Amino acid sequence: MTAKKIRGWQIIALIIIIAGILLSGWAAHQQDTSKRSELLLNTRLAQTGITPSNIGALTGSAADLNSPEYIALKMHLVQIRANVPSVRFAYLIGQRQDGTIFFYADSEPSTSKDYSPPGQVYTEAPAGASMVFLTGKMVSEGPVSDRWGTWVTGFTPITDPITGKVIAVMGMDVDATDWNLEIFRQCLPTLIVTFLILLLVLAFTLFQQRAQEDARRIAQAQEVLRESEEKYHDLLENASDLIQSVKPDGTFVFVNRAWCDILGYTKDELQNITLFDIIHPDSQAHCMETFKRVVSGEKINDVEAKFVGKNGNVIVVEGNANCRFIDGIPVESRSIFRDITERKRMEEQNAKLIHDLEVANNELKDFAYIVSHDLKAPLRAIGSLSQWLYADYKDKIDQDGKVQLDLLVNRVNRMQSLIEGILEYSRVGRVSEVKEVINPNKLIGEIIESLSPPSNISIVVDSLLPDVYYEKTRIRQVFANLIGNAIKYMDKPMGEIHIGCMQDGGYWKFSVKDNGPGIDKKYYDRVFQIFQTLHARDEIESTGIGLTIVKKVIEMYGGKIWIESELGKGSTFYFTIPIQGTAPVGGNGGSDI
Amino acid sequence: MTVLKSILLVEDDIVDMMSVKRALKDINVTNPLYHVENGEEALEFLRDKEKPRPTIILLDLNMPKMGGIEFLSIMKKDEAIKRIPVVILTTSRAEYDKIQSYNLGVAGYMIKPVDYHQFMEVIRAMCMYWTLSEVSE
Repeated sequence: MTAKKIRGWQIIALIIIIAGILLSGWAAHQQDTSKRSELLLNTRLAQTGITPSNIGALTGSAADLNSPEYIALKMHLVQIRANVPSVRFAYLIGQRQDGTIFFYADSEPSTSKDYSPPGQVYTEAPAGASMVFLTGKMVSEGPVSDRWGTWVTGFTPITDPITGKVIAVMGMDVDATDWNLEIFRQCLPTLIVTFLILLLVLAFTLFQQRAQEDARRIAQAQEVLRESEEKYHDLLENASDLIQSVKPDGTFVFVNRAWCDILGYTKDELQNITLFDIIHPDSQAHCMETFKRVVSGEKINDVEAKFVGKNGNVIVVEGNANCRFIDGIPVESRSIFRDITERKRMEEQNAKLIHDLEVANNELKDFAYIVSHDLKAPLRAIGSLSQWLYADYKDKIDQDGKVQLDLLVNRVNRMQSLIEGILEYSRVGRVSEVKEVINPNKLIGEIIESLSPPSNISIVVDSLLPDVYYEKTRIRQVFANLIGNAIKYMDKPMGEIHIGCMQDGGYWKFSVKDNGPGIDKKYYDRVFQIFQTLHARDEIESTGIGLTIVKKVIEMYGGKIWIESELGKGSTFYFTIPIQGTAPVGGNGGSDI
Repeated sequence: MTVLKSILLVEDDIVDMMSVKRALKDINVTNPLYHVENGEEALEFLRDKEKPRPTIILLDLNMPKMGGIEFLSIMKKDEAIKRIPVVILTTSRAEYDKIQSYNLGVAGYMIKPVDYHQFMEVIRAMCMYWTLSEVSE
C-alpha cells in the first residue's frame, strides 16, 4: 500500500520534471529565436548604414587601408560595436570568385590582437556565410567556433542596388557564453517554478504520508486502548470482589457484576439508589465518616462495613477505598470490597468453639481435681472401713471373710492406682514444664536406679544417646514406662534389655528392646489403649495406663511409636522425636541452657 | 505429752474424721480432739473464748461452705490465732494446692493414704513431731 503510494508520487515528480524540462527547453528555444531575430535586426539596421557603392570601391586587400571608403566603413563598424553592447565583433565580408571568404573590414582597432586587416581570408567562416552569398537571405548561425572564440553570428547580405547581386555580407558576433547565459537566465524562472512545484509536490506527498502514518498510528493506539479498556473492564466486571465507583453525592458511577449479584440490584436500578441505601444501619455512622475521609483525599485500606442488599440480605465486607480528583475536586470514590460474611461467621463460630473448648478444658481440669478428691475420698473410706471391720470383729469373721476383706482392700488400692493413672495422663500436655537439655544416658541411669531391676536382668545402652531438648519429666515418663514394662513382664531367666538410638531423617529414633514374652501382632494397637492390659490384673498388677501416657507424650512432640515383636522371643518398642527439639546451643548433656 | 494440748480437726468427711480419731487411739494419743466440719465452724471455734485453744490444727482443703485455703487466708490475718500451727491433711497432690498452702504459712502438707495402716503411720509421725516441737501460746 505504501509502496504503491511512493510509486504514485514518484510518477508525479517525473512528470513535473519532464514538463519542467520541456517548458524550459521551449522557453530557451523561444528565447534563442527571439534573440536571433534581434541579432538579425541589429545586423540589418547596421547594414542599412552602409552604402553599397562604397563597397564596390574597395579591393578587399591591404590597399584599401587608406581609402576613404574603408575608413568610413571602419568608423561605421566601430560605432555599431559601441552602440550594441552585446555585439563583440561587427564586420563586413566578401567572397572571391573561388568562393573564399575574406574581410573587407571589422570593428577592431588595428592594435587589437583580434584585428583582421582587409583581405584576410576567413578560413573557418561558417557555412551560413556562404549560404548568404548564395541565397541573398539573412541567416543566424551558431554557436560555432573560430580562431577568436565561440559565437552566435548573424549574417545580412548587402546587395548591389542595380544588379541585386550580393556584394558583401554584414556579420555580427555575439559571445556564445553570454548568449547561452542570457537564454539560461530567461529559462531560470521556468526552472525555478518547476523546482518549486516539485518541492511543493514532494512536501505535500510527505505531509500526506505523515498524516496517513499518524492516522494509522492513532487508529492503532485507539485499538490498543480499546482492547486494554475492554481487558480492564472485563477484569473489574468479572472480579469476585465487589467493585464500586461512587460520586461524592453518593450516586453510583460504576459497579461490577459481583456487586450486583451479591446485593441483588440490576445495573438499571442503580439510578434510583445511592451508596447510603446499601449501608446497613449498624454501619451507617462509621461508613459516612469513612466516605468523608475518602472524598477528602485519604486512602483507606481497612474499611469494614455491613451492606444490606435489595432483598434485605446483610453482608459483611472489608476492603479499601480511595478517590479520584480532577483539579483538586473529588470526582468519584473507588472501592473494592470482599464479601467476608462467611469468614466472619466462621470467625465467630471459631471464637465460640475456642471458648467452648476453653470451658471444656477447664471442666476437664476441674474434673481431674474432682476425681482426685471426690472419688478417692469414698475409696479411702471403703478401704479404712473394711480394715476396721476386720480389726473390730476379728473374732466374728472367719478365714473366708478375712480373704474377702483383703480382696476388697486390694481392689480399693487398684482403683486408687487407676485414678492416679487418669490424673497423670490428664496432666500430660496440660501442665507445662520448662524444656531443658537432657542427657538420656544420665537419665536412664537414674531410671534404672529407681526401678531397681532384679539381678537376672541386664540393661545395656548400646550406643551413646544424643542430647535432646524437651521437658525432663515427660522424657523420664517415656523411658521409665518402656524400661519398667520390659522388667515387669520379663519371663526369661537371663533378661536382656537394650536401649539404642539412631538418626532417621529429622528425627531421633530410639529403641527399647527386650527378650521377654513378645506381643502378638494383633495386640500391637491394643497395648497403647488406656486401661488395656494383656495379662489378668491379679497375675501382674498393671493399670494399663503407662503405654498410653508414653504414646501421648511422643505424639505431642510430633513423633511416632510402634512395636516390632516376635512371640516368645521379645519385643522392641521404637519411638521417634524431632531433632529440632535439640537445644539450639549444642553441648553435652546436663549443660546449662 | 501434756494432757492439756488439744487438737482441732477441720474435716467434712465422717470416715476421715473416724480415721483420725481411731489412729490417735491406736497410737495411744489421748490429747483431746475437737472436730468441726468446715472453715466457718473452725473460725467460730477458734474465736470462741469458751472453747479451748488448740495447739495444732489438722486441716482438710476441700470442704463445703469454706474450704481450707480460704480458712487459712482469714486465720493468718487474725493476730489472736495466726500462730497456731496448721498441718494440711488432704487427698490433693496438685502442686498448686501445695504452693498456696505453704504461701499461707502451713507447718506441713500430708496426703491421706488410702490404706488405713499407712494413715496411722502418718498420724503417728505427726504426733511425734508435735509432741517434741515447742508451740507459742
